[in-house]
Parts: sequence; structure tokens; C-alpha cells
Amino acid sequence: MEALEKFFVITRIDEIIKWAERNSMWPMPFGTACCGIEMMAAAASRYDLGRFGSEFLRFSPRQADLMIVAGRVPIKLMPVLIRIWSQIPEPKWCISMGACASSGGLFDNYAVCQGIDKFIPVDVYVQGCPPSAEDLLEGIFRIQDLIRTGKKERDERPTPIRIGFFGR
Amino acid sequence: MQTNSKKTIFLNLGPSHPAMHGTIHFEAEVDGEIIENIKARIGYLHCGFEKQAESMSYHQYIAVTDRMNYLSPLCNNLAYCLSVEKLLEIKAPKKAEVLRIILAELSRIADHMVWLGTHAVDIGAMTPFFYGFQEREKIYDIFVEISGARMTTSFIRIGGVAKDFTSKSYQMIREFTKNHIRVLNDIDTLLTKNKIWINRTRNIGCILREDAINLGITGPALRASGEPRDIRKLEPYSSYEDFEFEIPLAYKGDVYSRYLVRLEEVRQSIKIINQAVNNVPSGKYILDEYNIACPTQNGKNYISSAEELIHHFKLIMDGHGIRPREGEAYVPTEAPNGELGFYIVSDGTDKPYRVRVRPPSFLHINAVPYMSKGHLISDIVGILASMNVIAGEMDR
Amino acid sequence: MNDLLQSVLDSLDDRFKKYIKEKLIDRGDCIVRIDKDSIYSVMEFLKPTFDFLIDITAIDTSELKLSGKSEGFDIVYQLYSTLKNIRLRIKSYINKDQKVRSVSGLWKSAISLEREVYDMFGIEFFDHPCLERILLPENFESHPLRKGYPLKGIGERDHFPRVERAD
Repeated sequence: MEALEKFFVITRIDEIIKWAERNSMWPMPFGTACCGIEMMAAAASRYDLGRFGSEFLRFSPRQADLMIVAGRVPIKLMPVLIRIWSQIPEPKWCISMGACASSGGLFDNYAVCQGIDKFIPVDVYVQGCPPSAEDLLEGIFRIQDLIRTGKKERDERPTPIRIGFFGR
Repeated sequence: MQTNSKKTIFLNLGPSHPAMHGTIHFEAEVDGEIIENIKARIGYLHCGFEKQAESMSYHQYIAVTDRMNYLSPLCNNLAYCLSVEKLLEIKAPKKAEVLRIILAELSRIADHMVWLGTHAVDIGAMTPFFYGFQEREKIYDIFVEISGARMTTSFIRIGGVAKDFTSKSYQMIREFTKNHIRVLNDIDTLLTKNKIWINRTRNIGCILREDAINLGITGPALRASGEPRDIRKLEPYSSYEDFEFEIPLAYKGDVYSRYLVRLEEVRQSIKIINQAVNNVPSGKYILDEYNIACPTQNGKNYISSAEELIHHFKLIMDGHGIRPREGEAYVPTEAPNGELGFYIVSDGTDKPYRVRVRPPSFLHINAVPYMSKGHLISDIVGILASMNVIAGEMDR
Repeated sequence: MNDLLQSVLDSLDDRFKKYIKEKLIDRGDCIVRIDKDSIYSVMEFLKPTFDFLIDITAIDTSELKLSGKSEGFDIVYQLYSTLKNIRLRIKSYINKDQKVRSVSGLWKSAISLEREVYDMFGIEFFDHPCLERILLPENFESHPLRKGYPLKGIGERDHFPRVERAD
């Protein structure tokens, strides 16, 4: 018995799947504008996204499970975004990074969609214009929390989480 | 349709592609790996900047210009504010001009560093990416110290700058310029004589001087083709005429020369910053005119008298604000990418009648097809990266 | 005014006397207003000096409080000479349905600039290699920089299918 406890850990299979899922999030960066550059900064030196399991930014939607929409989404790009989102295999999560992706931001005009959540589901909103790289990291932690806590996260998704400081 | 044994196929690159900076779409017609014909499709980031201006006051629009070129927001602020100042027929104080130069040149370095990082990543070298972003973070630390914001600072205002620099920020700038030379030398040793880098960039995407002018290419890309045109020298604005610097020039017009020119430009920018930091004149950093600049800005952060409250109200309220007399103004500036200018038409009200942005990237992207004909597919990536096309500025 | 610019303007005067409607200096910039039919010939004449076409844009003048203007556009050409380091702005007024001859034969940069003017204002250029929309989607119907078009559009930004999760 002692030997068993020493060498084995007993858990449930869905727990271990969740553990694996949340510690190897592979983001699909959909960076368009200013937030895209801050997202790149999050992956670069100093912030180093790789520390939290998101080592690779996967530019192919079929290899990703987290989409980070960073930046403005105009009307010409919205069909592209919808298509990429539907190409990501389940289970998948979505972060809406920055004011423009979340609500249109400064650009309340004919060309910019007023929030991507009108057309695709969003799990976490990161606010700021643009949010700093720390805010994006915090958003990824929240996604990890969602995976850990929510047993049926896709059915009973809690109200979207807004993080970060205004006006960074 | 197809003759001989030649078979071409269509290849789509983008709009969501790691090497298509932001959102650019190329439709290439390729024969094997060689590009026969290529078409750039843009507009995926068209956000109505010009229409937006017609419903905003002159002060409000400064914040929008930040979002146009997100590698060097302060250069956009500067170009816009200079145009409005020309429209109002005022001139910023000498101190404000020097502070603006420091900010613009720091932005230029940040832009070139990010450009270098992404360019190198696109071609396949990962290390310069980390070097470049490290330097950018240092510059943004300086911006946080100066203005409180990292990227979209809106720091340059009509008639001056928003705040005075703190003494700590001067110290940070001095320290940065001292260390940056060393990093530049590191990058030099990493890339300039790197055989892979040379093979991937030399003789790729050549463009001659005449063609470059005909296509409307400006900035470092034009100087890499042998035309010594730098607006800072030829049509000096914001007292650039007081500073000593050289225009880096290359003659071949290929990707490698554009790299060399940009790298040398960073050195010249450091030279300008060093001169500016040591010679900041004393005086006001924003015009002391209540009908142009906010009274709260000069020295204190509060409104202390009834008059100031009235002036503030008159300046900020919708329907009041600054009202240039009818007419138009255009000031060309040397942004990191090329000639950037705001063509503003006023009809005498507090909102601009029309704002036209003359974007360098819009013309650069349309030059990429001319450069990439006959090259390999993998070379499009390098050519596009070397032009430093910023989607936000291109599509506006 | 700059002597070099003055000499160019004099030669322009000699050649196109009857087409030049107005010459003015606004805040130090030289603006020449010409007749719309002479745009191409004036540009062809200026090309050897002004080798750089900086910008082409337009202004919807329908709400501009200037006398004698109805529904129409001012089309603006910004020229720069790399040889003499001088700038010149050419303006021309056109009515709403009139067409303009393209200058894309003279400067290649005009191809995309004229496409943008067409996209935003609906001004048509003839002799243009491919006059189609450049910034807006191909199925877009209006021309947004016209003053009659509302800032928030006419519902283009709301018409996309909503995608739900699979389960």
C-alpha cells in the first residue's frame, strides 16, 4: 500500500484532462491593430507567455484551443473572424482583448463591428485601450480558472469576466 | 487558357497569416514557387478614421490618431498637431518643439526595433525579436514615466505637449541611449554579416529610384533606393533644422539595403536625442493661450479660478472649442515609415470639415506586387516585412 | 513665395491661361484651381517638374459654406518635386455625376489613390486600369465619405450570422 501511494496518484480522468487542457493552452492570435502589438509583447521577452503553458502561438486555427481577438474588427474582417472561429475544434475559448474588440471602442462608425460578442461567443473580456501585457496574462489565467472550476462550463457559462484597469 | 506546359495556380496568403502583418491579403499566381502575378487586397482594417474626424472636435481627434500607426503613435500625434497648428496659424513654444523631437525620435526607435524583430521572425530568425521587444519595453518605460501610458499616450497636444518631463525621465532617456548603442551592435553582429540573412535579403525585391518615386514610396524605403529625401532635412518642422544628423542612404533598393538604412537611422535618432536632451530650452511647454490649450495643463492639475473654469468650459464643450478660420493646411512629416501628413479642411466651425491622412503604408503595399514579381513565394514575406506596412495606417 | 515655384506657376499661366480659375496662397501653401477638363493636360505638363505625386483626395463640398457650390466634389492633387523641393496643390471642382480622366498613366501611385477616391466618394475615373473598391468590401453599396452618409452607417455593421458553440 505504501508503495502504491509513493508511486501512484489516484484521480479522475476528467480532472486530468482539465489539468492538461489548462496548462497547455495554445492560443490562436487574431491580432489586427494596437492590441495585436501588445499581444506580441506578451509573448516576447519580459512578459514571456510561455511560462504559463502557452508557449506556441498557433497561427493555424485547427491546432488551437484559445482564440485571442486583439484589435478592431471591421466589417470586412468579421466574416474572416467567424470562419476562423468555426474552424477551431471544440473545446475552445475566446478572449476579447481591448476596447475595440469588446465594444467597438473609440470607433462608433460605419466600418467597425460594435463588439465581437454579437457574433461569436466570448469568455473573457480584457479591457484597456490597449490593455497592457499583464492584463492579457490575467485574462489567460481566468480562462484557466474557467477550465478548472466549470464542470459544465459550456452549458452554464458564468457571466463574462471583465478584468484590467480602464485606460491603460 | 493555359498554354505550353506552364501551369499556374492561385495561392492565397492571408488575411490571417503569421507573416501578413496585421491583416493583408495577397492573391498570388504562382508557377511552381515562382510568382507570376500578385495582387494585394487590403481594407481588412478599414475603421473609418477620416469619417470619424468629421464628428469630433480638434482636441478629441488627437486620441484617435494614436490608434493609426500603433508602432509609433507619437509621430502621428505630432503630424496631426502640426497640421492643426498651421490651420490656427500658431507655433508651439521652443521647449515644446524640442520635447516633441525627443518623443518622436524615441518612437522612431521603438518602431524600428519592432520592425526589426518582426522582420527577422518572418524570415526565420527568432533572437532579434526578443532583442527588439526588450528595447521597445525600455522605451515604453520611459513613456510611462513621462506620460503615464504605455502606447496610446496622446501626449502631444495642440500648441505643445501635455506635461513637462520629470528629471527622472531625462535620466532614463540618457541611460537608454547609452545602452541602446550596445544592443544595436549586438543586432549588427547577429544579422549584418549573417550568411543566411544576406542570402534571404540581398537582391530580393529590388526597386530603382525612378520606379520608387513613381510608385509613391517615401521614407527609409526610398532612401534605400538612393534618393536622399528626408523631410526632416528638406522641409524641417518642429525645429529639426537645429539638430545635426545625417541621412543614411543605400543604392540597391533591395531588402538588405532597407535593413541597413533603418538600422543606421536608429543610430542617427540616438544622435538627435542626445543633442536634444542636453539642450532643452527653458520656458513654457504649451502655449499659454486659453482659447487653444486647456488652462489646467500649465503647471497644475486643477482649476483654481472662475476664469479658468469658464475657459475650460469654452474649450471643451461641444459647439465651442477651437475654431480655425476657413481654409486648409497640410504639413508633411517624416514618420518612421515615410511621409505622413494630415490634410485638414476647416469650415470655421469647431469640427474639421474633412481630414485626409496621407499614409505612407497605403502606397507601400501597392508597391509590393511590383517588387515581388519573379521571386519565390517565401520572398514575399521578406519584401512585405522590409516595407514595414502597418495595417492600421494603411487602411485607416 | 519661393522663386522656383513662381517660375513654374508662370509657365503654367502661359500654357493654360484659360483653364486656371484661381491661384491663392493659404497659410503658405500654393493652391491652383483649374478646370476639370484640363486636369490631365495640366498634370502631363507638370510631370517633368513635379515627379512625385504625394496624394489624391477629394472633398465633398455640399455642406461647405462657399458661394456657388452645389452638390459636388473638390478633387485635390498634392504634388512634390524632388528636384526643386517645392510643393503644389491642384484643386478642381466637379459636379456629382461627372467623370475625371485618370492620371494613372503618369504616376503609378495614382492607381491605388484613385481607387480609394472612387471607393470613398464614388467619383469615377476613366482610363483607369482597374477601378474597383479597395478598402471596403465589394458588396458595400454606399460611399461613406459623402456628407449624406450617416456616421454610423445604414446597418452594414450588424448583418452577420451569429455563431453559437457546437453543443
